[in-house]
Amino acid sequence: MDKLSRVQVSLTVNGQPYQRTVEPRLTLADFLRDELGLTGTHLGCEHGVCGACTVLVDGRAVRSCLMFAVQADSCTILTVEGLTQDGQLHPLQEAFMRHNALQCGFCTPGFLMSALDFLEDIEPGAQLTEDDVRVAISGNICRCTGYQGIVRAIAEVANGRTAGER
Amino acid sequence: MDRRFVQGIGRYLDDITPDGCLYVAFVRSPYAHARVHAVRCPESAAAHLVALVTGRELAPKLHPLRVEGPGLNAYDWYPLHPEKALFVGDAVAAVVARTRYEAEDLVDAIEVDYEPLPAVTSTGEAAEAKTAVHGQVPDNVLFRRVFNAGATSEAFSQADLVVERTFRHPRQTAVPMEGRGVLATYDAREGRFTVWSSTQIPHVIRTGIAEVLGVPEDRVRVIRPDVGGGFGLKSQLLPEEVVLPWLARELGAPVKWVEDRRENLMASIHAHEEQVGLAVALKRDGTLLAVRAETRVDVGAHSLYPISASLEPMTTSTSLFGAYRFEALEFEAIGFATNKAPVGGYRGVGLNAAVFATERILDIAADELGLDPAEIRLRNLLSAQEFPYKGPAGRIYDSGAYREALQLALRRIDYQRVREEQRVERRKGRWLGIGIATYNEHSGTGSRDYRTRGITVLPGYDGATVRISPDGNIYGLLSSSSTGQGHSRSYRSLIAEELGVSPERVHIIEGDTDQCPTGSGTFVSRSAVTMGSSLLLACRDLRAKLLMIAAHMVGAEQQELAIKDGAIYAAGDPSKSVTFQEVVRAAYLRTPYFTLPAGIEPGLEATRYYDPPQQVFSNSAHIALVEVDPETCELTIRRYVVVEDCGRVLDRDIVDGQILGGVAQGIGCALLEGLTYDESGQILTASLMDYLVPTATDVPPIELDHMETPSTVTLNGAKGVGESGVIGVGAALANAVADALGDRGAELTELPLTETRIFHLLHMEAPDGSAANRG
Repeated sequence: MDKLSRVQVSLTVNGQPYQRTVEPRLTLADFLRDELGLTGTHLGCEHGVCGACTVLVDGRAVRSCLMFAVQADSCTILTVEGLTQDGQLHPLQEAFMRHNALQCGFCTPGFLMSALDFLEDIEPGAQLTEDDVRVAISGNICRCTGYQGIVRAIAEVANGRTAGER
Repeated sequence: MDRRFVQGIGRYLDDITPDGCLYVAFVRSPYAHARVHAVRCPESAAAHLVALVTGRELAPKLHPLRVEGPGLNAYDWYPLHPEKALFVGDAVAAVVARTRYEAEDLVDAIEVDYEPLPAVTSTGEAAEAKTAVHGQVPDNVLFRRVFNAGATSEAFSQADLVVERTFRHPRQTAVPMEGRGVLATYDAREGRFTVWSSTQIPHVIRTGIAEVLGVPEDRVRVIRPDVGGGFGLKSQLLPEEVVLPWLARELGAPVKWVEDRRENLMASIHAHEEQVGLAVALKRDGTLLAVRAETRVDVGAHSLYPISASLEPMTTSTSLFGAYRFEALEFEAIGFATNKAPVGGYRGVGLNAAVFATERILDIAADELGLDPAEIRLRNLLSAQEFPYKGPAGRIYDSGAYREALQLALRRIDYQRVREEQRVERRKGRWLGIGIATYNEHSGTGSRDYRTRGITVLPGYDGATVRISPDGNIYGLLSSSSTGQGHSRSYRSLIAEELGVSPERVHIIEGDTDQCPTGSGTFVSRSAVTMGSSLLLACRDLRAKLLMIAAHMVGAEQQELAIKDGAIYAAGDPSKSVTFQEVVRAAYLRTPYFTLPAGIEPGLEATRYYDPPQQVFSNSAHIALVEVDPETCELTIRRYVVVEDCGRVLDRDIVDGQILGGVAQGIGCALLEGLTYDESGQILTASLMDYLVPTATDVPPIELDHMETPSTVTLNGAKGVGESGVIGVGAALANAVADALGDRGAELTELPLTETRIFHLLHMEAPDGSAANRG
């Protein structure tokens, strides 16, 4: 077995800069979980289907199981742990709790990050239907809730936002 | 709990990594059936290898488990088979490395000499018995039961109509978002193992682990962390749950194994693969007379601990026509061993196939008799005044209103109007279909019912310790093991209400065998029934003691006192009152003016167990309105109506969550999910691109109505609801598709309802060989 040479990466995660030396084959998901101890990003399939590992890389939703940490060099990453600011939950997090949008919680971080990306793309003032939201989250799998609560939570936040709000 | 999860600070198995933790990966067989000869780590990989252990080396150091009981043909189960691989993905060796990546490298590098053997890949082949999966079970029959009650032959010979069909239900698996994982440590000074596992049954696996390792049970502590879904996949003892603690002791270090999705689909727990040969005898007016069934279950390679190979054969056979009035039932149920992954739980278990077969054959019979499908059901469904009702399989249904549930569902969907709409749209070339499924389901199985079924290693009861600590906080330590259902909220409310305190002061602890009383865990929709009841009993004991102490403190009679909002007072004279906190203090310490009288022991703790005297039965009615595109064969669900009766509802949000989540999984089971093996026993569906589960666009809005017919048997009137949503979906959608296809629908006897299957039904040759009739 070859000795794999290690590579330095510098990136910002949830507003904090990090520098680490890692194997090139280390996935971004494993980097976040094992190197940085940010275990909120979960692994559901490791082949890019279930969406549980979704994080934002430079503002875009990415399956962190399909990306290598070295590819995220110089990038800005946002994980679920970064949603809470000064102890205040993000409106999405509060909406999820209110609408029974989670049970076991394993898929939840991935849905939150996917929803966050989706919210960024909405036209200001647009009123979305539940079908619009269903399509937007069709890349994330949940086995517990049947999706109804998740759809309502995201629709509420999407339709309640004013232009330009995060 | 929700707050922790939305913040991403839950603590699932793989989130726990002790210092010095080593990683375990399993070398898994690429053959369905093979003798395992040498297992070698090549020189090039040796530097990364911390340990390698094979089934052959491990077996002599362990005690095999034998899952025994009436009808079961037992054999010696080892976590790693000493000689063979029994299915593609079967673990033949464990490797240990310093990192997970190195462990997986080693799995690729390890060389194994396999001697392939003929593979048994169907129940037909198993029955031929040319090859035995287990040497100790030469005919491959892991379980067999024959049952006959109520003059079945006579009923069949006198019937106006007999309908016979063979139904096939596909092999499926639960796909919890979090796979299985085990972390084990061994404390050499204490001589104790600690095993963290993503499990639904902590006490039961403790018993199994201790038995296989040959140590007293108290030498093993099982802790269940946050679990990302179970659905029955995590209610069996796993080989990994035994191998990991053994390795931890050998190596003197913590060891962790976490499966990936490929292992989960290939090598964890499968379910539902059944063939039900069903015959039903009816009168001309649709009255059901008798049922005869032959159920063949492909159990895969093992009869698992604790539930055994009897799980699906028996749950299917006893659930056939469960909601209907009839007396004559005859069945033969066989669970065959095959060279596929072993079968255990997946929400609904054998009921899914039973209800599919029952509801399909009812529609076929209705069609032959010229009856509307709703009409034939209304004639035969049990109505509220008929309970308690003893079913032909000997199960007593405690309470229910099955006919009334269907009537409510028919009103909800506006049945006459959608039938009219169907007729109108058909003339325009749109193929709408309406499908009904009505059924009951058992829940909360207790020891008596398990023993009757021959299952001896499941306790059947659950236990609760409720402890009020001197500072007035209340702890509920429970034998159940939720895997995300949100039960702890219900339990907290229950305790808060019984003891007159705020829920914030109540803390629920589950899943630690050192702290929690023994019990069964969480499966077969038991929590409201068994856990809720034992909790209620313990709370009532404590409440009585609180009142007894308070009575002495205020100088009143116990029966005059009420508890509310943290105070205990005489209902007739509120000036005679004392706070909850003062009573607690008196129970533990003297107060300046009150000492516990002789005869009252200090402390405020009660442990109670609840063993349901019988199963309790909830029921549902599902009605689906679908559209089938005759060109593309695409299926669209236009409306989906559910009426659910789970007795007394303890928490509406939790019940709704279980039903909506259940129906979504049911849609997967009906339309998408099917594990397939080729004729050599190679699994073809080992990724989520091949094994499809529903996404948000696959699940329509569900119209849900509740009825509450309280159980007359349980303490709190509740019945189980965890599996209800799943069970009827295959049947309702199949009936709807068959209805949409008209004549071509009569031969719909198999799931899932893929476009391919619909295409074949539409384009099957007519019996006389003429060109396909589009009906």
